[in-house]
Amino acid sequence: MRQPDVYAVASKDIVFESFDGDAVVLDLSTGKYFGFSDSGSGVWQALSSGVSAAALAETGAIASAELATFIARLLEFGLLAPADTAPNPLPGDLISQLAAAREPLSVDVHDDLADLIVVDPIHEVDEPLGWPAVKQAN
Amino acid sequence: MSEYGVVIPAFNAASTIAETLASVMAQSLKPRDIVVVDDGSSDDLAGVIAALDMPVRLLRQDNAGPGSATTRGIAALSTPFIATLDADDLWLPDKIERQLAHFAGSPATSAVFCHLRTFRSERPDDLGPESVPGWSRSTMLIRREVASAVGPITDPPGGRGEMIDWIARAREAGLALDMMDAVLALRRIRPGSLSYGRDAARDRGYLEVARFAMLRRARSKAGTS
Repeated sequence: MRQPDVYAVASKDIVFESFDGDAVVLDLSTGKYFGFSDSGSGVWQALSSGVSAAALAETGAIASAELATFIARLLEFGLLAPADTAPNPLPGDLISQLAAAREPLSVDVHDDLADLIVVDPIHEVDEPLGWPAVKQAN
Repeated sequence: MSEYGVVIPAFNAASTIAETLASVMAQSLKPRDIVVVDDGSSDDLAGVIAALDMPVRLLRQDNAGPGSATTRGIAALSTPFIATLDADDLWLPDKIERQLAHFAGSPATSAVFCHLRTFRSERPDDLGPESVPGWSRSTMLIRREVASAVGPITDPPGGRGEMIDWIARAREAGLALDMMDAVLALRRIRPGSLSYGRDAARDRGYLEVARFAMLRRARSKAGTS
């Protein structure tokens, strides 16, 4: 049986964004959020977009054992889940981001905003009725 | 002195503002000042408010977000206590009286919040089953000096979550924020909006707020080591 090698974001409650290369991941169901080292940000971006672990290991930028431990943590946190899909290629900018990374792979979990996020009463209003509405940009 | 003022940021809230203001006027302790900040509405908010014949000051600004509008309103008040309220939510009549009593018994408290329940626009008596801790604008009553201690309520670029960010900053500043168990405010849910789908503005805003928190932590770590 082959090792699961391709992953996907575990659920719709897991949202994420990259800010100047720094990945931030939030679990809307728990209000916990996750920050990464520079190499961790690059690996998160790759794995969450369907790049295989094998392709990451092939870059030589990350040791396989370290990568396996990191992926195990992401699975344990419920951020990623194994996927049955064909892998996507590793984009060139991520290869250079990983090559330039200086910190070891790491992910930190934070729960200081959890109680606030879980109960935040965002009003789910229709756009013309009020917030949330971004200034009419178009 | 327990005089208080009210700030209501409003964006296209012409259909709900009258009910919201009525819940303010119905308080067992009347406010000294009520400021509605029109955040660039394109509806007839001003006309609706003018027709109400209530002692309301209406300020206007170009659309900049609810945090910006709230900050503007707070700056326009000079009362020792300041309450904030979304333009479509409601207070129960003893909301402020009970919160001021809480302050009176707890001099170290900087801000007090309360529980809330949801209601649907078309069925005002049909309250949602759950009472939840309302860490939100519509439940908040603060001592005036807290606003300057914590700083402006900042709208995350392109997103929501400005109250989470502000409350997190208040906590990090060591201020005492109390949550009352009593349900004293009601949050409006619009028709057809009960399905809890993905909301890009919410997600984006929350992620920004989380990032801000991590950046603050990194800065304070760098500053103390």
